[in-house]
Amino acid sequence: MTKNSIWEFSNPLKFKKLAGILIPIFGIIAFVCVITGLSWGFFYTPDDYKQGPLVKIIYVHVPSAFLAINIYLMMFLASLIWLIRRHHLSALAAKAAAPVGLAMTFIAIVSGAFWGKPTWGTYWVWDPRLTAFAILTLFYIGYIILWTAEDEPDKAADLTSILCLVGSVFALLSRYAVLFWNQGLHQGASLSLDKEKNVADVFYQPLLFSIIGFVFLFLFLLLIRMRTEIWTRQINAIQQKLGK
Amino acid sequence: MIIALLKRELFLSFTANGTAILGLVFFITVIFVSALGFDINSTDFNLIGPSLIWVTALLSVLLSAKNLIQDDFRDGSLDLLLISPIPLELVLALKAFAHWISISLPIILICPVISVLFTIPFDNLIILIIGLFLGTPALSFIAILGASLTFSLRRSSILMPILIMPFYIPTLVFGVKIVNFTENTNEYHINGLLILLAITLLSMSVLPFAAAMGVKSCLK
Repeated sequence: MTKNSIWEFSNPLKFKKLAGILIPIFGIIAFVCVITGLSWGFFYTPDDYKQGPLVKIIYVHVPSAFLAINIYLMMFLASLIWLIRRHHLSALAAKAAAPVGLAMTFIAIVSGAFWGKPTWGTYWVWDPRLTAFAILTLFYIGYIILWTAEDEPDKAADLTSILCLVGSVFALLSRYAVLFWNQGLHQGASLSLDKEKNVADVFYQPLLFSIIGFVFLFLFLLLIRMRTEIWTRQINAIQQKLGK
Repeated sequence: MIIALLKRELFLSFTANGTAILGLVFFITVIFVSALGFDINSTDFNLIGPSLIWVTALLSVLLSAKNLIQDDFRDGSLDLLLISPIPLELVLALKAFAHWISISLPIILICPVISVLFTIPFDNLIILIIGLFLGTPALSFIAILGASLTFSLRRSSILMPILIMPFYIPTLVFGVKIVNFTENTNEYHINGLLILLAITLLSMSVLPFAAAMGVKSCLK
């Protein structure tokens, strides 16, 4: 393995050293950005002419929905790396990310439900996007449960990686299968790279802060969870040695 | 060799201890009992027929697939299958195929009889049966993946449905929607059936490899 490549950090010791530096930095960035984004968004933006103050739920809803999807993508990549290169940290990253992703999915669904009640008149509709998120929740839950069912870490990593890889294909299929229904109530994407913005500038800037804050919050939680997992495994290894 | 393996699988599932007959009985029982749970006098009663048939077919496939690999694992024949000249991927594909013949095929054959209970119109019945024919192989192949991931784990009987149910969503959605669609245009039905076929072909071509990986990592 060459020096100065990214794979260097597949060594748990080097990773722990790096994580020790990065965790406080990410924590501070996440804290500052989330506080800035949310307080700016909640208190210093005007009410929408149609939705009133309800529009402000966007600062929680959009970042969590964005993360819910992208964390699954990250788990997909981490699982792929585990199956190909068998770096333990990669499997650990996927394992550590899953509960955070599940939480983000919940936040997106619940915040959306509270926005939907006054706006659409219902907490829940069988809209393609909403249904796709409910399905995503099921995939997250299945993945997390499979991790808990097996004690042997390598075997559990193999099985969950296979589930995650095949699951992403079927999650994508399900996402397009529910589009087969009539077009739902949910509006199109708020942010995209190629199209023009759908969100006015006043709302857009705090939203950007909020998204960056949520992303760093995820990285912060991810690194903490990975480090804890490494410690747990080390303790288990020591206990096994002492036991024998 | 391949024929012998297929024969073995079919023989095992059609004997007294097998799941073929039980699967069919399960299907009929669940359909009958859950039909009573709906309002029989309601005007859309015949609309729930295809949905109920699809959901129950899905459950029959799922519940009967639990022991596909576990039985072989417990009595040691899985080890023999591993060292046989046939690759494990093909063994698992054959298992899924035999499972489809023993569970889904009887269900498809009994569908015309069941449809009488719900007075499903003849045109819809044809679409339903073609849909089941094209879609259910995917269910068996997905089930073999679930079986391969869970056969050596604790609580596998409850774990497998949790893991595998979400995988059935695409097949289920397309299977039900093409039957109950209000605009009866042929083009729409053909497109829906082609998508079902595509999901089935995707499952048949990819999932045996994933399942073989699962089995191998469980036996390491």
